[in-house]
Amino acid sequence: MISDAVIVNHKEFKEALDLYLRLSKKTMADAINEKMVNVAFKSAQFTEPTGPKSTASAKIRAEIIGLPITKDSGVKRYGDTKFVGAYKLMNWQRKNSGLVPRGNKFGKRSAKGRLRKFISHRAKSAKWIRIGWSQAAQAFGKKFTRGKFDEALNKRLGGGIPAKPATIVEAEIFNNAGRYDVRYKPAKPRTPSGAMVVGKPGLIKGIQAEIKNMYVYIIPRLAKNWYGIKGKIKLA
Amino acid sequence: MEELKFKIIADSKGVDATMKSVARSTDSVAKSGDGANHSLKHLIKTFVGVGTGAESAAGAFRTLARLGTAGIVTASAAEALNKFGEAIKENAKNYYETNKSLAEAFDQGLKSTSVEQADSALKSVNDRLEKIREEESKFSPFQAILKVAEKLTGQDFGTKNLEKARDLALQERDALEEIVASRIKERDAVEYTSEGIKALERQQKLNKIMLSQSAMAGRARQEQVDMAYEDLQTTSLVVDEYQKLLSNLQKIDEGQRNQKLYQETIDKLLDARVQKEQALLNLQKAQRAEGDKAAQATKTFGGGLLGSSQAGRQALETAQKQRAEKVRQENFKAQDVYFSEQAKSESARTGTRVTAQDMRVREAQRVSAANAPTLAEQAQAQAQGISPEQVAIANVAQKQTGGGWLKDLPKQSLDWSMGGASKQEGQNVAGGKGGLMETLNSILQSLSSAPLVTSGAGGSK
Repeated sequence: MISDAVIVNHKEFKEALDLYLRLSKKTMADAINEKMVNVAFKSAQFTEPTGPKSTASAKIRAEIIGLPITKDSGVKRYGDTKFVGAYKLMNWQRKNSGLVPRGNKFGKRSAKGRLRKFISHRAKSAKWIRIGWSQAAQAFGKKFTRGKFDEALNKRLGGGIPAKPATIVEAEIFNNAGRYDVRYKPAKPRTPSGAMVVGKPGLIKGIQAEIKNMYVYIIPRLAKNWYGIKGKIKLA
Repeated sequence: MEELKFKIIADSKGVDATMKSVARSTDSVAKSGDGANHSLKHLIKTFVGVGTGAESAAGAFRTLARLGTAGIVTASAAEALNKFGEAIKENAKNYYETNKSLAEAFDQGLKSTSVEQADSALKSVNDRLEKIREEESKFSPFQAILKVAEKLTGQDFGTKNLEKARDLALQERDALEEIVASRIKERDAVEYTSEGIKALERQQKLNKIMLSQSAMAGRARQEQVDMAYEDLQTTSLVVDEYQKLLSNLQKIDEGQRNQKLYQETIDKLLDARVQKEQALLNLQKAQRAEGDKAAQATKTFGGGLLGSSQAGRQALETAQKQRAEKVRQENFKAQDVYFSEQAKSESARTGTRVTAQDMRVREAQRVSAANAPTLAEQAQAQAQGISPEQVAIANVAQKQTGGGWLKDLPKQSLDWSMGGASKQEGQNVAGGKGGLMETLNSILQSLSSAPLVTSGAGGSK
């Protein structure tokens, strides 16, 4: 599991931002806020969609099936042990929501269906991550225009701290989609989960896309200022 | 606890180059001395970029910063500032020279009349652009420091001069490139039409000589007409050629056009049009002269032939007599038909019987009136601005037909005007203007001959 999902002062990003600031005639705080919003948008855009056949859900399935097939006391089980992991999960869910656990008395068909449902719920994390990024953008005063992102409902899923004009300028966006475990009532902080597996590559891709975007702005202007080249310049 | 986070922490010193922040940073540099070396380098880098001159510039700037904000203004003779002073002077001098040479080159380009001249102007602007770039590379280490100094002191050290000069040169280069292109277009247009125009003008001159030669030699008129026609065709072709050249020149943008060439072309076109009109006049003259000559020739030639022999003269006399008789008969027939038709229409109009002889009489009256108008008629004509004959004819015609509402009355009333007034008492006075006057006269006469009833008081009974 990935534990380190906090990116501070991305090196290439800062270099590009430095050049961008000199050419754009914006203050540092304004420029950083603009770029942070763009990163949030692009992270949501590049977050890989998940589903029953995606790599993320395959990992979760392997995780569940890999649960130890033993009793709590450590005694080995005998007989049909195919759905032991599923039974365990279901009993755990019942216990969390204040119900009496039912042991192995679910029935095979029921266990199969419940397991599929459980995995599909877990695999929907991509959408929660996108909602988190939408909340991060909203903290900077920009809204996602496509999709339903209800502010009151999703506020705890993400956010951001905009930069203010100061000597040391700080800004951040964060995504709490994998932070809370909603299976507990009330929800409590989560242990490492699939949300990070899906979320971090999206964030990194978003940052890289924004760096490229900045160079698209920078390179033609530098070319014009120093060499008098006009018109479009193709970037590799 | 798991969360995705992206955070940026940045130092806004130097990058947010407002007046205050720069002043604060220089103050802090001055206070902290050598310890601030690192942050100063960073500051310089943010302005200049990673350049080779950054190290030396950092040293110079440190000295400058130690003097403090007030120190920069007062200590202009300080050693540390000498470098900048020189740089500023050089910059200003270069800027002046650059502007001057650019202006000269551009002026030359605008006034150019040939492709070569425009090309040379473009080359000189390009050379100047190269020099500006060289100066920029030399000046770049100082530029950032001068910018800071400008902000601190509020004075203009001309850091933007090179940028301005470069922008100007780039603009001028573009404009001159367009001018060169337009000169090439002009040259092509002139070359395309000039040979044709030359040949046509040569032909025009030849035509004129031929025309005068034929007139002097007294050649046939038809030949002269042909020559005039040919001349007209040539001149119209010349007009067409100049028109073509002018339209080609008009396609070039007005700002980049060679004005001298354009004006010359217009003048030549106008001259060619005048020549064309002259040629047309010449042709018409020649044609008319030829037509007159043919008619005169028939008349004199035929008369001369007949008059030269007795038989011919007799034949001519006979023919003339026959012609006169025929004319008389025709005229008689015509007048007969005319007056009878007039009489018919007049009878239909008035409802009375009018003969052709009546119409002849009326016509004769009109003619005689027209020949001798009265003085009153002459005065009326002068007042109305028409001829006296017209007035006389109109008066006669009014009498003949009975003017206005009088003509529609029955004939009895007309007869009454000739008779006594006592017979028609109580009836309205009518019967034409003359009749009316006669009636009035007769009434006056009868009144004067009647016994006086008002003589003496109380009557004579």
